[in-house]
Amino acid sequence: MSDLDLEIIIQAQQGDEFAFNTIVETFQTPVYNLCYRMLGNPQEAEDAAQESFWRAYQAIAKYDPNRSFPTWLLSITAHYCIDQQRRRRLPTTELDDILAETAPDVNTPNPETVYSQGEHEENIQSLLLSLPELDRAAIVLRYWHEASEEEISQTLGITVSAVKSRLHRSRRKLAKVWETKNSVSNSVERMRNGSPAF
Amino acid sequence: MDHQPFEQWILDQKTLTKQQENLLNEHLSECADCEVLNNSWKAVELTLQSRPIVTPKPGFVSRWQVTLANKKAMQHQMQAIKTFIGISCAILITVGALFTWLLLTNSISDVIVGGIHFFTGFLQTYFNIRAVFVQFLRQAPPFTPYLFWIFAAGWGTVVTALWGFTIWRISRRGTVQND
Repeated sequence: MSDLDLEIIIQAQQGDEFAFNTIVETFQTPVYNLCYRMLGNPQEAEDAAQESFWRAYQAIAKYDPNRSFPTWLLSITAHYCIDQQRRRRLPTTELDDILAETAPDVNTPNPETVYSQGEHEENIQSLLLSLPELDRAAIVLRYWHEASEEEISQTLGITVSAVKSRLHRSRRKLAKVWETKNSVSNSVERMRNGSPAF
Repeated sequence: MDHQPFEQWILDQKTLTKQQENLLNEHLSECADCEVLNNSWKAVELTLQSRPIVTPKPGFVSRWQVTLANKKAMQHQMQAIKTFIGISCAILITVGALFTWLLLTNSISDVIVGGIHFFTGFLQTYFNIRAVFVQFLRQAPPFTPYLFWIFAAGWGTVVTALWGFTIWRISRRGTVQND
């Protein structure tokens, strides 16, 4: 996870906007990625990331420098995204937006590559969206942010044993969803290729 | 069939001993459910490990600066609205309390008479002050208007200089902070 000078954090705590801009610049990607993985929509992820930074800006005076700053910041982000998810129970994933988001910035990409990237992205998002909010946050922190169980427990405000059981439950659920999805797509494929003569 | 501890071994990403590995392989060859779970989880794990980190569109920090300015403006506006509502409520409560006290200590006719008396007295005072002022202007020496304008212009200059100094100080402090 991104490292940041403690001095910059202290300057930001004293109300220095320039120092806080440095924080935003340093953590924009992890914060945005967490929002995107939690919400599944680029526009909502952008809004959620901006709102998370605003909440962090308001609360930075209360931040304890002995605590890990990325954990503190991602905790604010995760809780905001969980709240957003609870408000809007029906998540939607816009494939066009995902394709636009995953396309590289430089050079025109090969359409086949874009399609397979989009398909892969859609697979990941549909798997994640099958999980409850807190379990999804735990999985995103574990696999995207490489957080330990202790860090996840601090970020989400739950015990380490609760993190372990949530990760276990989530992995089982993801495996079941994968299994169901594959058995359905296999049967559809068989029907499409099958001949009435056989 | 008992799937524990095999399910835990499949899902919990812990390093297994040689003996545990053999036991798991033996169980997987006998239990179709655990084999499917193992294969599915391996595929999911592979998908999660090939995870792309999604980055925001370019200009996130600039958009953040705009968001910060808007949020601050909104916060000030909310603060102003809250102050206005607070003051209005305080005035309403004071007037209401005063009116109730008047109604409790006097009859309605007394309150009306008192009100009219107060209003006419107020008007009378205004007319008296105006008359005094007109009288003063009539008896004042001819240079009084010039003196008044010099006085007003002097104070105007002082206030404008003070305003300019304040703006200069605030803008300078902002630059120093950003450096």
